[in-house]
Amino acid sequence: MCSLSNQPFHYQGQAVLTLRQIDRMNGVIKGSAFRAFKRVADTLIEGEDYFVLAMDELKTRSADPALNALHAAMLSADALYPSSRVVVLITQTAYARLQRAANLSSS
Amino acid sequence: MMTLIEWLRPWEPSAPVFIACVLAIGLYAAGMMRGARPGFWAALAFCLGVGLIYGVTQTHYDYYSQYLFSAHRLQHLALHHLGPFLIALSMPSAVLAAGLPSGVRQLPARNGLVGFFKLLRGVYRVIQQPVIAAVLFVGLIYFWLTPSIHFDAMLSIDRYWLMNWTMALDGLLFWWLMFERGDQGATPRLTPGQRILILALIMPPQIALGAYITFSGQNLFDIYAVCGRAFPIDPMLDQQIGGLITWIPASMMSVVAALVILAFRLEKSNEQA
Repeated sequence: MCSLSNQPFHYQGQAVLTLRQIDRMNGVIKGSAFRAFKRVADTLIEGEDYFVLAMDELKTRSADPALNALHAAMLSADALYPSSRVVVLITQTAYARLQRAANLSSS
Repeated sequence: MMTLIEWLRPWEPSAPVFIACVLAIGLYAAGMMRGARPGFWAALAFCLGVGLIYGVTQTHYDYYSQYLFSAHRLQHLALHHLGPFLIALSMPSAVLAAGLPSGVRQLPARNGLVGFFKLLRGVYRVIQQPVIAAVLFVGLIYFWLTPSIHFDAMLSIDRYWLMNWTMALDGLLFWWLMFERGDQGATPRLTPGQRILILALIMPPQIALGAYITFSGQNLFDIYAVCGRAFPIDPMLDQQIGGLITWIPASMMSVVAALVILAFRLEKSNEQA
């Protein structure tokens, strides 16, 4: 597996990971990172700990080159589940909480 | 390819669900060992009902329920309709009571607890009033399928379990009211006609909701798009299958229940003849 695909992306000045990257990094099945996210969702703040981007927006937006670049980078790193219509980006702080909630590895 | 062990492993382990299922089967078995004779079909129905509830919540099936709308609707068909239907059909109260330790059986008669159990019985009789029971039965389906509420329920583990527990408990209450027979207990005793009328009245709202979901031109439940569905499937197809499950088998359960009630009535008539 390409190690580059698990490199964090940068969004709004923060290093972020997609749910697919977290699943892959931990060698767990699709949905495991989202399950951990659901366990701690009440303690996280959207816009600080995680970001939610609509895939349709990502696909169509051209006015924001940074977002276009992020989308292209995520696609090339195979960091998105094909059936997802929403991208959840997890910051390092939130990932630490996910790890505690689900015993995910710290790799 | 998943192994059987992996399939049987819970996706989201829940101690209360595990304990409730083990306790139910354990008490039933203890009751039978103490002389209760429910009969083969009743015992089978009870075990199947509990097994179904366990199977859709404490195996890998729960994974699909959380990542596919159609699987979620099947899960609730088992939790709200099929599982409780089979349990209530088996009328297990006498067997379960026989399985209880004698100290627990005598609790309602104990001095300090008489008031508590009287209150509990009163609350139970209120929620088992036919109109309330029917409104609760249909209302809960509508409530948890309200898109914004459904989104929140599927996004929080606590609310997810609250949803599943309320569906299972309400299903038990409703089908218990429908199939109550034998000695008069705390459950209001309805005539067969009243029971069939209730069963007929709860059908149209379920049909309407199922049809609305099936024929809706928009994706109503976008929570399943957050992480992506369990396997690649068109979101609208997933929603349509879920709508059909809400519509047809759920409503058919009313017809099956009405036939069961008629069979009980005929059986009683034959006994009296």
